[in-house]
Amino acid sequence: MALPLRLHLSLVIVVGTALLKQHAWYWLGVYGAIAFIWLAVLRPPIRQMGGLLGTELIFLSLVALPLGWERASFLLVRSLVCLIVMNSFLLTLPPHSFGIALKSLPVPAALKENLLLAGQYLEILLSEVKRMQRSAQLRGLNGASGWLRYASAAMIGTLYIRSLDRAERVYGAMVIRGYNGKLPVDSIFTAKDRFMLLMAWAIAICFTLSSYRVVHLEIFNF
Amino acid sequence: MKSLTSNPQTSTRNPHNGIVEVKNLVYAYPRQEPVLTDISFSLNTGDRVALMGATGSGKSTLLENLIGLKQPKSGTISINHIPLEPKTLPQVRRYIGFSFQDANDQLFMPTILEDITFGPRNYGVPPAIASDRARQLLADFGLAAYANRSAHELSGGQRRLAALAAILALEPKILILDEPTTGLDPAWRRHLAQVLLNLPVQVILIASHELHWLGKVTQRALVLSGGRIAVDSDIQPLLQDGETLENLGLPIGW
Repeated sequence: MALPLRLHLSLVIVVGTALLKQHAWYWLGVYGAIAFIWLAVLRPPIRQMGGLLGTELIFLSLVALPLGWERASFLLVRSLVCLIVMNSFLLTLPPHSFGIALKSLPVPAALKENLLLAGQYLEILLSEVKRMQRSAQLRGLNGASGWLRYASAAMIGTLYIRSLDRAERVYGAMVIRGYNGKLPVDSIFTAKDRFMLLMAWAIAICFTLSSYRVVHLEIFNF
Repeated sequence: MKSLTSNPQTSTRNPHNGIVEVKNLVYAYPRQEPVLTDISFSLNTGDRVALMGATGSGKSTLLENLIGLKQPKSGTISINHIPLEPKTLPQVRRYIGFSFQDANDQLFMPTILEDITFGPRNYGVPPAIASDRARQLLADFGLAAYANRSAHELSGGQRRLAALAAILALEPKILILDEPTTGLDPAWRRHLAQVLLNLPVQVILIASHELHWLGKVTQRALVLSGGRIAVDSDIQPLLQDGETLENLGLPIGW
């Protein structure tokens, strides 16, 4: 399955879950089942997934628990479903392909362009950091904590200067090739992809709206 | 400036009618001594020129002046008879294809294909035509399988080729390459030389330390030394003059 479609389908599930009516446990269960199917389809590394979910839920519980157990429980389970979906997507992303997935993100063009460039740039910075770390380790980075702090600070400073320098050259390369403030980014969905997405959105809208209807009826009957 | 030969090519160079015309150019980094002093030369249609010089001699700086990425302290540059000024930059850059020393600087789009179509599409080439042109270039450079992959997945040599393809997609009249053979193995260096020899561009200016490779691709050499053009001559006699090259910090065979 193409990366942009994977991102979109993940977003459909997340948005659908996030907009569920509070305490619509039945529909949350439905989305939970969908999340597990998504997990089975994408097959992320379970150990890594467990670690990530654990860490994320600890932070979320710090925010949610003060709201009271009743509200927090629904919020946490809803978050768990969203996290399973997004972590499944992120953990199965091939290396260096985040930008490819971002291309189809349904956000304004200006924001998308910035995200794309930032994503590409981050890759370069990370490789620069890795190279510096490797170089330092190969030359036996060791010693007193003061020395290590000094070496780390020097690396951060160098990274900053290099990143400025690099940014200038990348911008120069863009301008030379006629950059006029707009990146030519294509929508890359095939007709089949579009149909799948349309179906997914239709199903998600039905599920999410149903959650409001059921809760509303329950209140009405009560 | 030293002239090694009195060959016909040298003598027919018209210093005032070049496609690329540089006169008395001086460039200095802020609060520093000039790195380029009184640079003057002219490149004419059909010229394939090597820009040589020891490390730090100012080759890249000169090239960046030629495309307006750096502004000279004094002197003039004209490209295709248009003076290079801030207001003429977009017009002038339409004629020039410039490849940076580090291919990473040039590849910033999510996929290689988009990187190659970036320039043509900015200049209004319809997406389908730009895409066809890009795919053809990728096939020529043996990168067809990477069209929809990220540049970060390519090896150093492949990135270099992709960056060159991105430049050639613009179909420039003037091609300026900064160290184009970096990271390429001998087979790809040969392939690149063949591509360059058959390009329908008017002027090629290549900065490189690969003297033998330059000898196969170019006819004329400009050698920078001490911030000045020390030699402007045909490249073959220069490559056979080991003493001069040694004195210019370019020992042959190393």
